Amino acid sequence: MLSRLASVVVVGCLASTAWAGPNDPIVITTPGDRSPGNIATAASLAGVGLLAGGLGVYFHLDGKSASDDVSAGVYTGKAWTPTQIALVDKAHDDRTRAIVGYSIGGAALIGAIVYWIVTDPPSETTIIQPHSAPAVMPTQGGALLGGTWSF
Amino acid sequence: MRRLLLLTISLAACTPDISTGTYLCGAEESCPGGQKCDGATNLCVSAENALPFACNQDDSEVEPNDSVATAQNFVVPNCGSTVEITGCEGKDADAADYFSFMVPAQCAAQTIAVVRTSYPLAYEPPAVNLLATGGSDVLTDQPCTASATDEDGDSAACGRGPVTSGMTYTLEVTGSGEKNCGGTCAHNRYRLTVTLTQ
Repeated sequence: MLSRLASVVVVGCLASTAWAGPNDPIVITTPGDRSPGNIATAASLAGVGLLAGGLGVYFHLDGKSASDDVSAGVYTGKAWTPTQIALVDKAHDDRTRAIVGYSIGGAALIGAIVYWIVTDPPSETTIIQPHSAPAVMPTQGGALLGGTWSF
Repeated sequence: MRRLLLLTISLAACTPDISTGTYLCGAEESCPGGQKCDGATNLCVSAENALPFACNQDDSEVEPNDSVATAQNFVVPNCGSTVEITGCEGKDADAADYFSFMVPAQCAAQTIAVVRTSYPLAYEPPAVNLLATGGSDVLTDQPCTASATDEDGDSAACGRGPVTSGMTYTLEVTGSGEKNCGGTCAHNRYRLTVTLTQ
């Protein structure tokens, strides 16, 4: 993928030489290659972030369900029994778990982004100075006009 | 900032929102956090609005009926009929209530007295005995039919025992000594129904 990208850059640069003068320098920028370890670390961090965030969402919804079951705005006709107490405890525990999940997930995702940016390998720039010389060769009944380029 | 606010509000939704007066008190006056059991209505209300326990003013019980000798008499008109008594025990040093009745003479020899006691779940469950002339308890516990459940804030206990026509029996209502908040809710209102069946 990266080499293909570099090729595109090179082609783009070469294409741009058609518009530049024959002796203008050709600048080729090749993005730095990330090592598999670097990619794996970033992916792991992002994975942990998504997993922890997903768990946070699960406990969030689970806790909200328990909370909705026990919440009441009008007379219920029910007594405050261990069933209701257990629902309150569950909502509280799930809320704590959701906060922990969101915190870990958010921190890991931010960490993955920061890690990706900080460990971005530097790109390499190559400048090619072409040399050209016109060539005129006499031929029978005329002349051949050409040129030579060297890099 | 807005997303953080939305997340905070969303997480707050995981905390139950229970308005005052929406639940009946559970066993031993238990209520949602921040609420207390109102002694007059058995409802969980905000702590500042909770009144102390009080007996009903329209109970059929008439004090003093705190001993067998001073038992309040009631009439069971005939076999098969049901009599209802409402009362209150454990309040103001009223340790026990007694009610006496005579089994009608026209009842068969093998008559059964069925006694059902229903009471709020919030306070000490009453214990009911059916005393024969000699003082022995003839009542045997049995499951209630169409029982009140703890869910609706009331509980019930039932018993049945053989009675003899023409004889007088005494219902004794005392505190059971259980689920009484360590003694602070050792009282209750109750409703007794007595049915004689053959």
